[in-house]
Amino acid sequence: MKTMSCEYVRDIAPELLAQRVDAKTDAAVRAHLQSCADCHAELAVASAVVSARLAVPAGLDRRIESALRGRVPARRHWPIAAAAAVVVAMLGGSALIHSVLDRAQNTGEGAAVTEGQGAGWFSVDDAFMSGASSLRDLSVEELEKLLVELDS
Amino acid sequence: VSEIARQPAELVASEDDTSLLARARTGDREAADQLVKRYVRDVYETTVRVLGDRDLAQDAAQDAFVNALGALGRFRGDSSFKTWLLRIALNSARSVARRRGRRKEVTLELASDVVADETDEVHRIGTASQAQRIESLLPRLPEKQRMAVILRLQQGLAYDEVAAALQCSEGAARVNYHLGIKRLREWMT
Repeated sequence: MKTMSCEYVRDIAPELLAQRVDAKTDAAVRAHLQSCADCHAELAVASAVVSARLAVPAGLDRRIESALRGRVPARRHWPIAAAAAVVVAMLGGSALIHSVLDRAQNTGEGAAVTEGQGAGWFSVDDAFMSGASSLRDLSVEELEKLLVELDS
Repeated sequence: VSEIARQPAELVASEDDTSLLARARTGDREAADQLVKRYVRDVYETTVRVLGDRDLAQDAAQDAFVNALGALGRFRGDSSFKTWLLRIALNSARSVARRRGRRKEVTLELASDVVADETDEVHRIGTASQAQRIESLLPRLPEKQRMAVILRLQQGLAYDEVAAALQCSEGAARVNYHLGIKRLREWMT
């Protein structure tokens, strides 16, 4: 008998794998995984992604620290026009960010989350989700159509 | 392999971000250096996942820190510093890609760069070989799906933070994540 919904288990997969859930939740998820091969398979993929961390090139931190002090000459010399275009793109991007964030539901300033927070992360009550049984139940084609609608 | 790569970010320094940011705003170089050490891995992993090129990814990571720490006055704390920094890292990577005319699907094989994960055996369901396999499959995902999966699973961001970093709605972040995972599952079988 499943003690937890598949939706919830998959939503907290990152926190479970990072051991950021309490003992009670951890035990409930384990019980669920023993009886749900589908969730187990999905968590195996998630676990593999979590494990696939990349090495940082040696000395990158020191290089960045030097750059912050202006001790590293610019490695690239861009034409002024290109530099100006980048600035304009950044300004435009910033405006876009605020526009998008203003329109996004449940993504307001009060939604800021700090690392290490637990159960409060998993809100599935945004307007987009209401009425939808679960994203995991949709096919790749249906999800792609949904994305087109969201992007339009 | 850098020593930094072996250390969880939390172990690099114990002082919290708020305190470090306050000091960095006053020009405290040591505080800025601590922020670099704390987040260099997260930033590099983000830029290299976009660019698929180690050298360009280092350039973009450097740009990200220079831009972010040079603009701390504009950080309002609406999101965590990490989310804000990763958004800047994504923008830096895309700018580097555009300037170099290399905006294309990631093709670099990064499997050899995979390092051991610190997660204990109890919580690790996948195997090391699966991690290598995933590494070879991740570049096949479209950028938004790839980055949604990476930011959610490797960086531990909540969906609203993934959305903020990717500059999309929270709904789109969720769909991109689920699409990415669904495709990876298909390719793994």
